[in-house]
Amino acid sequence: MNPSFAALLYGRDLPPAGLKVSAQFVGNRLQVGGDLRLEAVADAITIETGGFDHDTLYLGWTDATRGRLSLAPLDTVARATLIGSAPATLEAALRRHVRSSRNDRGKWLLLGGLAASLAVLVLSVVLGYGLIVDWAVRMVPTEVEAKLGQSTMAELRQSGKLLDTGPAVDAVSSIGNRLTAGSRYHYHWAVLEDPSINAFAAPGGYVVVHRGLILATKTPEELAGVLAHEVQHVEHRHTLKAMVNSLGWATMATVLLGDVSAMAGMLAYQVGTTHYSRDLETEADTQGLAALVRAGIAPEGMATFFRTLARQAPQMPIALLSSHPATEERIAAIEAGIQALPAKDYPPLAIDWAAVQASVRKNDDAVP
Amino acid sequence: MNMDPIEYRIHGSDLQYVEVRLGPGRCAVSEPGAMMYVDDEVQVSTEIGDGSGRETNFLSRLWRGLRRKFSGESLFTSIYRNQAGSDRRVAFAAPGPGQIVPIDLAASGGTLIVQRGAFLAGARGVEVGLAWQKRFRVGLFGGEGFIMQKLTGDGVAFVHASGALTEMQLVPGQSLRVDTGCLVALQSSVRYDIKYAGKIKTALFGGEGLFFAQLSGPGTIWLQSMPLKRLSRTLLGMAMTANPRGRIVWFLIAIAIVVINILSINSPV
Repeated sequence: MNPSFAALLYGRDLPPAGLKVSAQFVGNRLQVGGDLRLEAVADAITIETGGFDHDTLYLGWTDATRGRLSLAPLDTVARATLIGSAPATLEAALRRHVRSSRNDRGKWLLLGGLAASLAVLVLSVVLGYGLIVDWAVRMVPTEVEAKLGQSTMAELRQSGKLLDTGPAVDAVSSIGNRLTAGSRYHYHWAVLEDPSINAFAAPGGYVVVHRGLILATKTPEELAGVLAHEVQHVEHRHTLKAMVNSLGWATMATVLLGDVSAMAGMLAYQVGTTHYSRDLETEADTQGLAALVRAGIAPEGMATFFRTLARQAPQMPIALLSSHPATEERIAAIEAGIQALPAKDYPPLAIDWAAVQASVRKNDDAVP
Repeated sequence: MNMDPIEYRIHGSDLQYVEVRLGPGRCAVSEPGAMMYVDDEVQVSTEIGDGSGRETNFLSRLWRGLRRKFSGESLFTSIYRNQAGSDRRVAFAAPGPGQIVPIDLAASGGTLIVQRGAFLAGARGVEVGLAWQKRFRVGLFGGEGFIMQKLTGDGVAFVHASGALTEMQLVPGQSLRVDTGCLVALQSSVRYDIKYAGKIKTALFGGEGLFFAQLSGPGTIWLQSMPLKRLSRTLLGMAMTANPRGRIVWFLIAIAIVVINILSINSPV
């Protein structure tokens, strides 16, 4: 004896909302209880899926006197009882019904999953922007960087003010090469005939020092401090990071694909005035101090030079300060960094600084 | 559920209103703004949610209200309570041309699914919820969108739709093809699907769109003769052609198109 289940019976003469009945399978027959006393052979019953949500199970058959009838289980318990007690002839059709109502849920789960993963993707791009920039910058090969640097230098060379030889260039390279010993970049050092106090680094190891900077520094150690800072922009690819932020991803993609020429001109104009974020400047300061110590150069030069600049700043505009603000906190941070280093006597750099300065001043007279 | 049995009378033919007679202490609920007139000593109050009084927690009432909002109703419900010792009246007017149908939810199995925004008023205890269309194609092409209203309870609900309204009972195995947008309400036992118009010629020139709504029994459905979309399309068309200036604009556009074509042919490649 199979268990009975509650159901709603629909038919022509029955209420439109269905008549509540109790039904059960007896052998190969479906018996509907109550006052109706209906019976149907399982072979004559069709399984239909209906209802607003297309998840209601209907057993349909044609009765001799009442015409077409439909029976739907009242709730989920009744539905489970019905499916569990149905004769074997209905099993395949019932399985099809269960599968089709489950398919629908799958579609919405899939859609929800897609929407959720898209949201996660957008969120991670927003939150992990710095990491993505780091990754993109790391993907740029060194050769591309070198090409960028070369084309920048070519633009500068056209101005006719770039010095590749002479005592000043020798002095800069001797300090610079000490700072960059063991680097993966092949550095090129140059002096630009420009009276403003500035220095900058193009990607790929091209470092340019303005003549004005050489004249403004009192000792070679002070210049070494500035160089150590600039070198870190190259080593940590800060120029590329700043490019990603200011020029956008489209330009970055062309660089990744190797098309350097398109942006070389823009970079040549920009490189001297590139503004790095405060984080990048701080990184360059601390890493620069470490580089000075590694090279055995007295690190105090970095602090004293910026101190001097800060004192002069109110009277004269200094290009170096526009991109490297000599704020009190920055100088304090550098001095604190120096304090934290183990006390050590560094031999002074064996460069006749007065002669170097004289050589660039001489050029000043030669070039009107 | 505490349903308040109410007496009502529907007035008017095309622009209707329903007058509800409330016994002492009885309540009716409606959409804010639907009230037309109300007797003395009927207290009018507004609540967030559906006014069923079942939710005491503010947040769950707000959640219910938001669900109502999505189903095309207001966040708030107006409640009319008769505080007098004898019967009092309150009347609700339809927001547009069309008809008001009273539907007894008890006779519909306690649940009814209606077009968005179709609920006008009802006995206290009629809950307005959200019926989410789970079938993509029906939601996209069925003419009613993905969201419909689900009315639950066992009192009378007044449903409004434009045009003439007709009630139809579908017996098991019977199905009806309906122009999309003409469906106003259906019992939850009715299968709602869409059917491709069949022939490309019918789809393009039959004026019914690519799909029909297919409704299969058992259950009762309510249909409207004039969906607002169709009415506004007709009125817009009239406004464009009946206005002589509108015709001149079309004429100028046609000339412009011809001139542009001629110019583009003659221009040297």
